[in-house]
Amino acid sequence: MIKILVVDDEPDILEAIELSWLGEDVELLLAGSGPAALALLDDAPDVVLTDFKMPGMDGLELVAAIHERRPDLPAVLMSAFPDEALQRRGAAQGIIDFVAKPFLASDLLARVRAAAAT
Amino acid sequence: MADDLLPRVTKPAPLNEGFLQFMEAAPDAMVCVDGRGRIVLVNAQTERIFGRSRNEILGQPIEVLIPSRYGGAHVKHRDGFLADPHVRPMGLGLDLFALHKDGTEFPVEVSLSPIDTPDGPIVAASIRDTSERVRAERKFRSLLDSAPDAIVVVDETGAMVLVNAQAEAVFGYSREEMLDHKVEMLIPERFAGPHEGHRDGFFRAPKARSMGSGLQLFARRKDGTEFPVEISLSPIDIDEGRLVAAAVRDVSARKAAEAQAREAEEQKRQLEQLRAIDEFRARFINAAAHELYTPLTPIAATLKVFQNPTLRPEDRERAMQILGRNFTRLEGLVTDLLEAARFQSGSVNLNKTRFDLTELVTVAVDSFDAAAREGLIDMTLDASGPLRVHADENRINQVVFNLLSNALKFTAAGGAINVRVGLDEGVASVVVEDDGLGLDDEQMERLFTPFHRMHEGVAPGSGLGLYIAQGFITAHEGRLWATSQGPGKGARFQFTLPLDDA
Repeated sequence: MIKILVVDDEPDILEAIELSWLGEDVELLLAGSGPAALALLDDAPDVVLTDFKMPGMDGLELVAAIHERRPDLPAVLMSAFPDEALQRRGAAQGIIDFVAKPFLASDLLARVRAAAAT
Repeated sequence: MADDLLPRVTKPAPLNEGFLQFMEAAPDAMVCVDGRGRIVLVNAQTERIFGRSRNEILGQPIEVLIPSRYGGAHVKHRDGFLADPHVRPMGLGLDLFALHKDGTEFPVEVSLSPIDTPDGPIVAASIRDTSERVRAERKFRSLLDSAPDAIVVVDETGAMVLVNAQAEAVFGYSREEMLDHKVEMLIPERFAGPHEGHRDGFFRAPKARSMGSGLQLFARRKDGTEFPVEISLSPIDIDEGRLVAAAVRDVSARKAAEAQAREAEEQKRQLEQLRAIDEFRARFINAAAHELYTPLTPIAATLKVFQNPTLRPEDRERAMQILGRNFTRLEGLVTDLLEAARFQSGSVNLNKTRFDLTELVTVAVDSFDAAAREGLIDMTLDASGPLRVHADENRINQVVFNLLSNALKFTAAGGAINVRVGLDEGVASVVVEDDGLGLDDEQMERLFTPFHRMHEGVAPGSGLGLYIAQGFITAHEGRLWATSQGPGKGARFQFTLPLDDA
């Protein structure tokens, strides 16, 4: 059982991910914003899956804030346009994988598991 | 020369002493010729200008003083003069030349006087060497001709008395065609009448100045074509009266260059405009794609839910609702994109009818009444009488709904929304004012930018609502704008429409 912190400002995306992973061997911590995600760090997630484009604190800023407290927590970034520039910036911050939206839920889980195993 | 000055004499014409002295001292060459054309008397000046001594000339035919090419004709003219002798200048209108001993020719003016003597008539010719004057004239002429402008000198009657080579080139007339003609032949007919008046005025109070200051002047060529000119005028006072010199500059080339520069500037501006539109389109498409992905992501993620054989009915229901919500959102987005594309390409088709804007707004406010009450928002309407407009009712309705739903979204419980519909400075006006979230300066600036959400996360929308609303109102030749006292101080949206003038 791995514990995944999922962060997206679109409630429907959080809910869709939750529903599609029903029956999988995962525990989910859901957050609608960066600050809400930081508040869930105490629940000891094994990996974080966050959207990039969010109002206020974006995904890269969130990962930077998370790494201040949990430097080793693997992170996966979701984005509609994970272009080269974004991947370079993310990689420099220790982001392990980049997932393009929209995604099929099963692929996503496989990649999050792979990231968690690093 | 009067006859009584001339005593009756015998050959070789021993004229009276006084006359001889007078003749000797004359500034011009004086040559007297007898009926057979032989030189009988000359003065000192004759010796000087022809380079011959008296002894060489006396008794010779007058033709020795004339270039040989004129000699034959001269004999006939001489006979003709003797047949009808009277005082006159010679060779009127012709350039006359005399022959120096060294074979060179020089220009002269000659006047002729018949004198009766007992031995028959003699003719006294007064000959002036005009080389100096001709040289000076030539110098003046070449000065005139070297001027860059066409120069036309006009006398008080408006007749041209002097023109230069540029004037011939610029106007297409030869010198002869212009000289002695009215200067108005060089002016387009519609200006010629007024010009005569202006010309008279200038002659009365002349001072050097440019003509028609601030006006675009035109001149006319021989072929009737017109061209733009600049003209400067200078009075010239001479013994015979006053002349005016007009320097005329053909500025067609400069005007054409200016027009070309303006055109190039305009093309550059259009190009920049096209580039800006292009850039806007690219950004628009990029943002539109983002917006389309947003509902597609939960749809794609939800699809797998239905492959789960142990799915509980309530989870299946939640998945169906996610699909439904996001399909609706996708559909709305596609509709808005199509609308935006229509007015971006200028092909918005307005289905105009005549209707009462007050009634439309009243019905719209009524339909939001329940939602407002539910949100504990005090929604009020101020309306006066009917407002007839000629517009696309559906689209105006859409704009009003957009403004009302925005106001409702961004106003918290306990807040107020006031809607006013009425006349404002001769046009129909609708104001939707709330005391909700308000807008800061940066938000105000980007309010009508596509896909720019004012309050992200607060309430979802296509991000095109205000952009489309403004497009519709603009297509109706109205205006839509917003004001805000700042964040937290509410916002005020207003649009206007022309009144129905039918």
